[in-house]
Amino acid sequence: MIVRLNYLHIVALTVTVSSNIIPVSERCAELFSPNKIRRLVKQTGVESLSIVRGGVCASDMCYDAAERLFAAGEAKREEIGAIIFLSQTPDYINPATSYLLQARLDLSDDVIALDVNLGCSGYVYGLYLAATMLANMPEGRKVLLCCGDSGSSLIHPQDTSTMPIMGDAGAATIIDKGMQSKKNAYFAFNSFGKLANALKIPRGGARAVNLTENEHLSLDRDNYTVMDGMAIMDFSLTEAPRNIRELLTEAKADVDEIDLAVFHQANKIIVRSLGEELGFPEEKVPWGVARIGNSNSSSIPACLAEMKRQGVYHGYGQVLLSGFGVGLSVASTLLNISDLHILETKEI
Amino acid sequence: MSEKDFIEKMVELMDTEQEVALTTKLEDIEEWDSLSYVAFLAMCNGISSRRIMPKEVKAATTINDLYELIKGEA
Repeated sequence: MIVRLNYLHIVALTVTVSSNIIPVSERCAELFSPNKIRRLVKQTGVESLSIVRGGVCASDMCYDAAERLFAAGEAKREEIGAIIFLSQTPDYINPATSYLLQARLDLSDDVIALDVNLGCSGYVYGLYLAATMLANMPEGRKVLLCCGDSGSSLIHPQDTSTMPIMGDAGAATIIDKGMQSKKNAYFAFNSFGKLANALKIPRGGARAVNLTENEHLSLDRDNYTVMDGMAIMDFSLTEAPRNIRELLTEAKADVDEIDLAVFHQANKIIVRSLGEELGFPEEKVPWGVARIGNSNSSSIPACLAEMKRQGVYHGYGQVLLSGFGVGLSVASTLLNISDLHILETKEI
Repeated sequence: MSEKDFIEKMVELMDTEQEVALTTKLEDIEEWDSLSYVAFLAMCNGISSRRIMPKEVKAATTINDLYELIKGEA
């Protein structure tokens, strides 16, 4: 489905990662030979991973990111009309983590708070939800989108497909209505529930509880992320381009008019292939997460914040953001970010 | 793509120091693993107008089988 929105303005964003940055060669030392690790790093483009220390959750990184946006004056706490926490690793089954963040961030009680369960397509969904909520909110209100995952704890120790690429991060983004005169934002969504099993954590929900051993999560595979890497690869290279082509057609936008195409930072092979497939020159298709890894829903803001940290983020106008993954799901947006403030990545 | 170009591309893609020919069995190449497989799919996606399905790649047993998948293309 294609949706056009008149009001959407990303004011500012930043990302917080773990200060525990582990080289892939160290994290995967027992899984692969040194030669295989060298090849892996070269092909996936992931050199090291942000891995939370025990007890640190996605919400802790989002909290830090949001506090930094407030400290930088990007929004006042009382202006926040809604807080969205988008994650696959909430603090608890309930209450929704957005309520815990509301309290920690000292937001007023005059606020909408809700959680969204999405992964790699989540950032685009978050922007869309924020914009649709803002459309009917009182003037001057802003939405705080907290988007993050600490999925490293849900990787099975023997899982060779996700161990070398998955890292943890939490993003915070402030969204407001902006000026009506700004160009429209376009969104494209596609959902593939029939492919749900390709990427799944089979246990831990109401359908099947976690298996434990001596009060710890057992090593049963179904307690952890199970990914059919080949199926996900094929899905990404088929459905993401289709979704994006429909978006560009509807928006009557040409690849040449797009300053930057930020794809979900799954791995470098996918990002480069998508850029090539859609006809973007390589310099417009950043691979920004070599230091922290694929951080699921926060990978798009993480790419931007890492570009800022490296001093390679220059102003951009029209940008394409596209996420794809668990669901399975694809969500893309074409929007203008010419006055977006990005605070560089920080570690906690 | 010529046979020679294809073999060169495959050697680069797999990052192998092994001698590779069209008749080489994939199971005899240490570096033909899931990583090379993903890189091969991505390469196909870039140069072939027809979609190469993962199961077609999985069915291949020799370098030539892979070549057959894309030899009509660029």
